[in-house]
Amino acid sequence: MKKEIITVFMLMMGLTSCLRLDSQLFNSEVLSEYKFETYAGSRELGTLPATYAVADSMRHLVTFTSNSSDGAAKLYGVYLGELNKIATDTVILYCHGNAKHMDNYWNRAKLLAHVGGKHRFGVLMFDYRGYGMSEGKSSEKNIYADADAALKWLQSKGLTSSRLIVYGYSLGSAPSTEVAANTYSLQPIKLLLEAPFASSEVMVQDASKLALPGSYFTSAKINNADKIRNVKIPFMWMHGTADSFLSIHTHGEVVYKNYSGKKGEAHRITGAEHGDLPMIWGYENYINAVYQFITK
Amino acid sequence: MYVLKIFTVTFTAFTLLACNTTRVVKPLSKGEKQVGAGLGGALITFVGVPMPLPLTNVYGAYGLNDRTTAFASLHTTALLFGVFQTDIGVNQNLLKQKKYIPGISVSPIANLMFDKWDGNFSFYPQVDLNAYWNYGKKQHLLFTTFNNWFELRKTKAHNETQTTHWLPSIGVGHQWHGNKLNWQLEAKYIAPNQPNKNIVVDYIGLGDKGTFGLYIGVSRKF
Repeated sequence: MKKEIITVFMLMMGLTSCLRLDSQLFNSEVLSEYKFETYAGSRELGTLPATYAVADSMRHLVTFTSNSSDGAAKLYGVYLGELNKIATDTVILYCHGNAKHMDNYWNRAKLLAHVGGKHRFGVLMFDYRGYGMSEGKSSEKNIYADADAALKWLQSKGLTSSRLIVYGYSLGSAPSTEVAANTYSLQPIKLLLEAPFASSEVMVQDASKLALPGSYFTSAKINNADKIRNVKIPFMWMHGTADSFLSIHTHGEVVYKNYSGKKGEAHRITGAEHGDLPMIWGYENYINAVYQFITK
Repeated sequence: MYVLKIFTVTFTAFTLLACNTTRVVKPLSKGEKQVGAGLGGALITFVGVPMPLPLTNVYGAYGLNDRTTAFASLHTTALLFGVFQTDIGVNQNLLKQKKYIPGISVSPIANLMFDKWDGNFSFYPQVDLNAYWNYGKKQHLLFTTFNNWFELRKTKAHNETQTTHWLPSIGVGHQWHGNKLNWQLEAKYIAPNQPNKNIVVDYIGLGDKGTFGLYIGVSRKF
């Protein structure tokens, strides 16, 4: 009887398919050309005030190669600032969220280019594999490799760890936390996370109300809540209290609580949704808070 | 947000709670067999349009005696994702129908899940209490059901406290008995004790609690 039960069980598992929801995590959109300021599609934060404009001469489309076990892929990034000052400037590496491509997050990069005054800090934003014009296919493993490729590019331009700030928004909290928690080409001196994931498992449990294993749905872990325990550098967390996508209570608060470094800073922005925190906070308030955190 | 929502809807496309029609409301006769299939799930807003989650399952039932029927199922949508999910239970009649006074039955059920990826196993006990009325020449069946899922785990991800341990749902359904096939339509209100905001999915409920569910089923008796 035991043999029959095992046979039936093995047969059932053999009948299962291999569909996973991992790829659904990456809602990328392919582009043939970046438009940045003239992008006509809808994007985060809508239209920024003209005071946050970035001159074309200070916007540099760059490429670099990301290597992972899936192979090499050509990635695209945009550097806001003067390229020849990377060797002496402090630089913010901005890891964007899971939607579309860099054009969608252009406003966010512009705001960071105004932290401490126009181009006080250099800003590098890049598209993960499969996003915009970047080659390849997105995966959790690959976005970590892609972030490291961005670090290597900055390193090749003369950046050192002592002048590196990493900022992750939403999905971008995953590669940001990963490079801050583990050893990569450069080690940031400060970490900022806006509306971070706790983990994919928390998403599952939020939706089902049950303590279901995340493995029932996806192989992607996006386990920031555990990785943040290894982060000892100063950490600034921002989260909207009205975030309907990644709840401040089940995601952000857990990440912040698990941070074990000595210099944590939390900003709970009343009424802010997932994608509008800088606007609800007030652009100048947001910029000033980021500046204060970086410079103190 | 639109792009994000596509992800979350897909992500939760087989949310497991209350994900099927009520299997057996009234026990089968002794030795009688029934096979069936179901489709439906919680109502969500997807790209602005209300729709039930497309969860599928198949099941079989067998009348152990005139008052007790055993049943077991296979959740086919979950299977596509490498998760073996079944609910195994018995339906026990407590009271026979007397004209307008409904028959009453109870179904203790074990929901079992196991994934082939990390080998995670889950067990959710469930107790359904049903009231039913047969009527007409074809003995169509009108019923109401009170489902209760229980979460036994004390902690959830990242060792946070699992605060929800009881997830009830109430439902009303109807079975049309044809010459060969029986058709079932059932509506539920799932987890009316739980908030439905800021939890990734746009559930459709009354105010900020719970969600509606809509299900159809087909079965045949032998």
